[in-house]
Amino acid sequence: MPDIAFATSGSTGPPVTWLRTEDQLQAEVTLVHETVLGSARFGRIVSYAPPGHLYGRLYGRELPRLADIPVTGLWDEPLTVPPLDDGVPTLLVCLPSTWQLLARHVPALARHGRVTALHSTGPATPAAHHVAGRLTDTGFRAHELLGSTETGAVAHRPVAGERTSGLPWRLLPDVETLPGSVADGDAAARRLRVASPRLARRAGTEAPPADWELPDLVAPAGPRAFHHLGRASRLVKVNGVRCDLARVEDLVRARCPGLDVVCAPVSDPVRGEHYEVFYAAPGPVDPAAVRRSLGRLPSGLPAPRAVHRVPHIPRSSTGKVRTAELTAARPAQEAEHV
Amino acid sequence: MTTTVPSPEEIHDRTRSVLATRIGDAFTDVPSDADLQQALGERYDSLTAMECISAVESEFGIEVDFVADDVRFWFSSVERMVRFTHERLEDTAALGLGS
Repeated sequence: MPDIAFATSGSTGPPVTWLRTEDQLQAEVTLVHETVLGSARFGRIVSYAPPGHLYGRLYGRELPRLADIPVTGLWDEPLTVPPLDDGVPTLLVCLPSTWQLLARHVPALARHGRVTALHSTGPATPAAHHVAGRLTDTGFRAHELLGSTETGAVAHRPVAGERTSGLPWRLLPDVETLPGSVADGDAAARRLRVASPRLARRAGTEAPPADWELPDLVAPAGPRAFHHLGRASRLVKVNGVRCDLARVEDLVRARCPGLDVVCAPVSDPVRGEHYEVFYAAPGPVDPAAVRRSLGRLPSGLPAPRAVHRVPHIPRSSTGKVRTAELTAARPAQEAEHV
Repeated sequence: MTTTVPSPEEIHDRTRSVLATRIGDAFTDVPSDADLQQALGERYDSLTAMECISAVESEFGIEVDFVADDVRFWFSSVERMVRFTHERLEDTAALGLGS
């Protein structure tokens, strides 16, 4: 059986293909089914995650195949409600956007009582915490996975209700952590560096790396547990799709010379994370023109949620962009928003 | 108790205002009878449609049922949104459920 290829979008550099063996895929599905999902016997899987990506492939293809579970693929139909009227034990494979849909059907989820939601590819949204909170004392269960195309799933935790967010992540049994790089200006935060038998092999190399450092910043929370503090890189995941903000800034500068451009990460209630473009220009450059210049972003880079013209980009005395100041000023810029 | 249902014209204007906030200035020149997905491309994908549905619900105090209501049809253009919203508000008023 040839290795299975998964491409990272190239948003953090040239597109990269990562290869996984069939054994690695099976090991991950088996591990998560046993450790996270309690070896539950599902009668149906409904997947909102595209199978071209690792997460969708694992739980929308491999788990159904290994456990002989019928699967409904709804990755192209994010507004389609899963069947909730027949009591069949169901696993929902969720993206950040799926929770907006589930939030509309909390009573049906409560009545059903045998639904488990698996969440990954980006932070759990406020809607996810809302649903989990409303369904606390029902048969509904929800778990989130942290990982990457390069590492596979690394850690898991329950999706908590609104009042109990911030639960620590627990490493999966076959994952070990190593000391990661120290984050700028915060000795308590380190990048998450892991080793496991499920690391992917980069195309063109003979073997997987011995370990891999993720962009996620973590702090210890007891044996084999950690808190997630944020990301060291300028990566955001727009409904699970990676986007390197520095690369978008480079594209805007190349296509609209003379602009002072900053991409700022913002939270998004539907997609989990998103970004907005802020620019200052010496002349009359219309935000719509800037957006048009980004009309064809390469390699599936998500388009910005909004483009704002500002009088100037606020910076500290050392030249660091004051992102909070930029995003806080957004409502006043509404007329220049596209 | 009687509930006054806004006119289709008022619903139209408020709907356009709500959508402009969500979609941005690109929406300004889109005619109300235009198919939003065709006119806006990826700016009106399924997730943006979901945001717009939530915004219309919030603006008019109605509820859209993703199972019973054909959301792909009713939320494909401003005109259809206005018809849907007006009918839903009239139904609500007739049943005496309005606030």
